[in-house]
Parts: sequence; structure tokens; C-alpha cells
Amino acid sequence: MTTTQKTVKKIHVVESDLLCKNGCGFYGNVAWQGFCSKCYREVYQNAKQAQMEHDAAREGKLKQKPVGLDVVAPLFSKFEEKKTQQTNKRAKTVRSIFRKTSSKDAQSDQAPVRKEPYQANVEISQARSELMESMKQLKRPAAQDFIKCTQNIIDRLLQCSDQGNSGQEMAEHMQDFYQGMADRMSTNLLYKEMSAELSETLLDRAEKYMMVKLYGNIFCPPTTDDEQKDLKTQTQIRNLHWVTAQQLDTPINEQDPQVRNLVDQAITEIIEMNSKKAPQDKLASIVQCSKNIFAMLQLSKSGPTNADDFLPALIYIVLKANPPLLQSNIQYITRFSNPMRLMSGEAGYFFTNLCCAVAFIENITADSLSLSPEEFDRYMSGEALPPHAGNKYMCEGLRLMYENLKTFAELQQRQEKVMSEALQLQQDMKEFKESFKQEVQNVLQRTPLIIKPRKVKVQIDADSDVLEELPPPLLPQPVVAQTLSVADGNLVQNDGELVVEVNAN
Amino acid sequence: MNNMDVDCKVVLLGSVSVGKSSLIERYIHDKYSTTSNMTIGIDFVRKKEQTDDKEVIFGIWDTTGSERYHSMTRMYYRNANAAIICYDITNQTSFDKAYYWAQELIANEENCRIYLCGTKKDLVDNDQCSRDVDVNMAMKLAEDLKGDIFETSSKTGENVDLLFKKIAQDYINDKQFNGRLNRDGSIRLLQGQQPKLHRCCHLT
Repeated sequence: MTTTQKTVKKIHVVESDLLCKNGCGFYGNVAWQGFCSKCYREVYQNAKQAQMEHDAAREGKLKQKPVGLDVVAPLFSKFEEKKTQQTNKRAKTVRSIFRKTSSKDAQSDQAPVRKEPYQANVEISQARSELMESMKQLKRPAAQDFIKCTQNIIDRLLQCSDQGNSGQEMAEHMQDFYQGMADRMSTNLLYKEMSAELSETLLDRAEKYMMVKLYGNIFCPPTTDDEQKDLKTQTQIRNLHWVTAQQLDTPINEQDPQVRNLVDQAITEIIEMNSKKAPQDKLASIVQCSKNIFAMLQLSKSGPTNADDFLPALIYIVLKANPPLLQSNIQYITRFSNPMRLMSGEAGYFFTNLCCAVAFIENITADSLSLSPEEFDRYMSGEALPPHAGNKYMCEGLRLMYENLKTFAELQQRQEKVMSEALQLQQDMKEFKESFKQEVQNVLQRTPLIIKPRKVKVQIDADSDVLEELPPPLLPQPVVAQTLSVADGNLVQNDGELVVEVNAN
Repeated sequence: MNNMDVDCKVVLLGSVSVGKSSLIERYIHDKYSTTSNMTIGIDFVRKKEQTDDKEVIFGIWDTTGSERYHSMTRMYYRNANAAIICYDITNQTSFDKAYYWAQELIANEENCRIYLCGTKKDLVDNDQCSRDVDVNMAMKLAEDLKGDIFETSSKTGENVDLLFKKIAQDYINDKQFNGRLNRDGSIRLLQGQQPKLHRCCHLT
């Protein structure tokens, strides 16, 4: 036991009380009313025997009611051959009683189960530290009060589970706690300055802490018939392995690998729900599973999804997943989750859907799958399988094959494309060559090549006949008279006088 | 803790294809789409509704109208604060179904307020002959149920907001009548059941 847990225990267990009342030297435990396990068994054996007989007389069916540790074992043996997993789980529950109480001195006894409690403790202390974290925001008296209330309900539930009270009774205590705590936080002066968010966070974390801590005691308690229901549902789902998506009218298209992937995810989520401990974590798994279902519906239908499609799809997923301890989980959430969560929120909606799905599966008839009763019976008994039986796409090998085939088809397509493009390119090249040739030809025709005689350089200074043909060079001539033409007259210079001869005409 | 902050649980009931999802889509996104081009999946939605001075957060639950799941519908409307029973005013069969649900609700959930909602009003507005459900008959049923009746059209949006405003108002009135408000004035969830007396002495 971790030290943190010990301090919690100290609130109500005084050190001296730890020893067995019988004085045998071993440590006793509140759960065994102060005795050690051995003395407790001796002292209460008779009482239990009597009570068992009494109960048996009263209600034949519930005769296993007393939860003496020795009485629990025979209860499991009933289902042992069917469900090893189930019994393991229960065995752990029984062990956890030892573990929680006497780990300090009896460690040698439980060497084989050492690992599991360690893990559980990690979870508990984590939930606890989260709770403490938010508690820091409280004032001291309020925090003390909150711890007191929480511790109280833990003790009460432990007591209930030790006394073998029915699950209903424990659930009532828990619901009272949620209601009471919410009221207290909104009315009590201690919590006056607390914000609404903080009170929600506190309640949420307290719930988580308590549920993780008490999980072994309150999950599927032996006093209820949860276990029988689990088995019944499991068998029923197994018998329904042949149900196809088409029979449920869901548009899930399993041949699409993307959808297939989402189906797998949804199945994983809902199976994982069982491994979570706090109700809110379980609900989160359900919500996640539902989100995946919506995604796959959207892909399959390429359109809208609404409640009409969702429920059948969820049923289909539950059938394919066959989640372990489904009924126990549902009962557990119903009993111990904060009712606010289940009443109205999103988690509540999906949880309700899950409950409906389970109810549908339990009461499934030929009608609900639109089959004739004879067909339905034959399928149920395994005599025949419907055409397109559901497992077709569930088989890993076949799925792989389909996927490979699809890839091949795609490859072939690409190959063809490459081929045709290559041919096209070849064609293009040929054409280009031809047209280029043509072009060259055209140019050649348009401008034929004429070779002209070579030009000779001219010797400028050399004598040549050509010179003879040139006109004689211009010689300067003295000007005698300069005739200037002015309009219609002539300006004549004559012996120093300027005379203007005007033409008479 | 966004999954716990819903005040008022509203459940939509009605046969297949009376337009439950369209009603929600109109109310939440204020748009209408035919089934072929609807983009978002509708199942559970949360919306704040403002009335005169208070705020209510609706958690609206869509249910499947398919006949084969009828026996399970009870789980959906458990602890609902309000139920909208939808029927198609151009289809008498859907109204008969509405009658069936109304009886179921009254028998199982006495704290749940019932709102009748005749859908596809636009069809009748365009062509009076297409009406198949008599208004007076529907009104009489609503009277018997002590509920309200609205005829809405998700296509045009007519009366849709009115319906939800009325639900919010009624919800607040009921709560005030019960006199249970948080100290910060927000509406407090009653979950349909009266608080129990606590046997646990540490809590009282």
C-alpha cells in the first residue's frame, strides 16, 4: 500500500486497531470487523452458514448472497469452463480484498499478483493527485469537508460490498452522494466562494478517484446477476455472428478500406471500454466509438447521417466487437456514474444508444432482421449461413486479398496509362521528325542555294580602263558676273553699279 | 466537462422521414438541405437558447423513427424535460404514430412537457390539398396532452425558432415554479426527480 493511501485510512483507523481483535498477532481489518482473515472466517462461519440457509429459503435464486470469502469461490466454478477470462477477473477482485488490507505484512503471500496491484495503485494515486490538485483551490475548511464526505462514501461503499449488499443499494448510496454533494456545494456556506466550474471539476475528479479506488469492489459485484447477463449476452452475440450490415439496414460499406479502418477503430474503442475504470473514461470510450461510427457512415453514404442510421450501425459494431462484460459495464455506469452525465449530455446520448443496441440484441427476432422465422432459426442454430455471410469481409486473409487485388487493379491502370503515354510520345516524336523534315524542305525550296562567283578585291590605286571612261575632274572657273535671280528680274552688276533689269513680260 | 453542461433535455420523436433531423438542422444551423446534400451528421446537439433574461442550454436528442426500434425508444425519452413529437401534416399515418408516442410519454414520463410539431408546412402552403392532418384534430390532441402545437417548415424556417423559444420559456417557468435556482442565477438541473432526503448524516 502506498503511503498516500495510508494517510487516508488514518482518518478512521487508529493504529492500535490494526491488530486482530482475537489477539492472534496478525493484523486485522475493518472489512473483517477487526479480525484477521483467519479469525474472521472462524468467528463468522457459523453465522454465515445460518444466513445462507435463511436466504436460500427466502429466495432460492439469490442464495449466494453472503459474500464470505469462502462462499465466493463456488460461485465462479459454475462458469469456469465457459469463461476463463471472467473467472480471472473475479479472482482478482477477491485478491484485491486481501491486497488492500494486509499488504504490509502479508506480502509474501501475494508474490504472484504483485504486478497488478502496483498498476492499480498507480492509477489510484494519479486520480488522487488530480483530485488534490483541484482541491488546492478550495479554502481549507471546505477542502476538509469535501475530503470527509468523500471518505465517508468510500467507507460506506466498502462496507456495503463487504456485507454483500445488493448493487442497487450501493448505487443508491452513490447517487445520494452526487445529489447531496451538489446540493451541499451550492448551499453550504463553506463552499460559498467556489465557482460552478470548480465544483464540477471537483465532483468529476472525486468520482474518478472513488471509482478507480473501489473498482474491484463495485464492478460487477457477486451479489448481482451481472455476470449471468454478461454470459447470456455474449452467447447471444456469438450466435448472431452471421448478421450482415445489409440485414440491419446499415449503409456501412465494408469493402472500402477506409471504412474498414474506422470499423476496426470503433471495435477497438468499445472493447477498450472494459479496461477503463472510471465511469467517465468508459463513457469517453463509448463516445469515441460512436464518433468513429459517424465517420464511417459519412464515408459509406457520402451524405448525411442521423439517428436513423446510427443505431443500426452501432448494433452492427457491437455484434462484431462482442465487447467483454458488456452488461456489467452498462450496469456499472448506470449505478455509479454521476447521473448528470447520463441524463442529458452527449455521453448520455451515446450511452443510451448503446443500451438500446444491447436491448435490441437481447430481444432480436426474425422480424427485426426481416427474415422468416424458419430462416432465422436455422441461422441461429448454425445449420446454415445466409448468403453473403457477415464474415466475408471480416476475415483478415480475404481482406488482404481484396486490398491487394485493388492495388493490382490500380497498378494495372497506371501501367496502361504509362504505356499509352509512351506510345503517344513515340508518335509525337515521329510526327515532329516528319514535320521538321518538311519544314526544312520547304525552306530549301523557297530559297534555293545559288553559288555566286567569288568576289575579287579591287585595287584602288591600280590603272584601269575604267578610269578613261570617267568624266574629267571639275575645274574651278572665275566668276565674271553673278546672276541672282530675284523674282522676275535680274540683278546685274555692271561697272560698279547695280542695275535691276526687269523683264517686261 | 462539456458533456455535463446541458440543462434541458429535449427528445425528438416521430416516424421515419417526418423531418426530425431537418428540424434540428434548421434550428441549429439555420439552413435547410435535402437529404442528398446534407453535410453534417445529426444525432446529439447542444445549443444555448436565450429567453428574456435567462439562458437555457438544450441538449437535443434525435431518435430513430424506424419501426423495429420502437420498443427501445423509451430509453431515449427517460428523464427528458421536453419532447417534440413530430408528424408530417401531409401524412395521416405519421399523425397516428404521434398519437401513439404521446400516449407512451404520458404513461412513462409525467414530468416531460409535450410539444406537437406538424412539419412540412411549406408543402401545404403551396398546395392546400396536400394537407392530410386536420389542424383542429391536432389541436385537440395537444389540448388533451396539455401541450403546445406548432406547425413548422424546416424549409422556410417558419415557426421553428418559435417552438424552441417556447420550450425554453416553459422550462424556465417550470424551474422558477420549483424555486430552484443556483446562487449565481443560472438554471439548475432537476433531472425530473425530486431531491431525495439524505440518509447519510454527513451530508445533511
